[in-house]
Amino acid sequence: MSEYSIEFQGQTYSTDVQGFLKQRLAWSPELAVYIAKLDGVDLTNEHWEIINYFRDYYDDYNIPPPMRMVIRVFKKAFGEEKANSRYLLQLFPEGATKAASKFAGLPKPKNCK
Amino acid sequence: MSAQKYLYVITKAPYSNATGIEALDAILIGASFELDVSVLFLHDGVFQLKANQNCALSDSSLPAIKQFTKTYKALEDFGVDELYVQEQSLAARGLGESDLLAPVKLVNNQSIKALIAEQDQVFTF
Repeated sequence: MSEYSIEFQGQTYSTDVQGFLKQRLAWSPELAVYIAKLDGVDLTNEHWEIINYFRDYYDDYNIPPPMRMVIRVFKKAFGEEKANSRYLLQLFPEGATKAASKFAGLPKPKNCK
Repeated sequence: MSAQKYLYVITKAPYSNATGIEALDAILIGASFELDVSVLFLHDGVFQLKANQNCALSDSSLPAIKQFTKTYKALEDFGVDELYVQEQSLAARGLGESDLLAPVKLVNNQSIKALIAEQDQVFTF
């Protein structure tokens, strides 16, 4: 067992030092809400659009999507105002790729500190 | 100045050692620095691209291996435009383009020579 973990609804989930889940399959939407809250973020529908996209992309490719991909896809799906780094940073002040991966139960992206 | 051209040559099959996953990391780093990255699969390297890989271990007490080769499909999203595969390597292993997990460009030795000649850097894994 890892030395870091979070407690949620009577269960213990091991994480890395920054709170990324060790077991991707242990993830649930309720747990995501809790993890986000620990980071001071209240998840809205806008967050979920991104988190769900991250989860789907990871299922297909075993890697979180690159930011330029997120922006390209969201531009197509939701239009200009939801597809720029400013919008994404407002939703995820810690950095969209990092925080979205964390809330989505994915491992920490390799290019994030 | 146009971007430097980097070619990554992969010559080993996945899973038996860490070559493939290290090559993939190097490719992703190159791509994130906006280099002009392409990848060439030679010899047993073509097995990296085989579709429907089963990397489950028969001993379920061992930790599962991540099927990292799925990430080759995503390289396009990272700005890696071309995956080259040596025709002869593929044919010699009884594989065809339809057995692969991503669209590739088949090349013969003549075009590989030309491909390497136009690179600024070539890395072999």
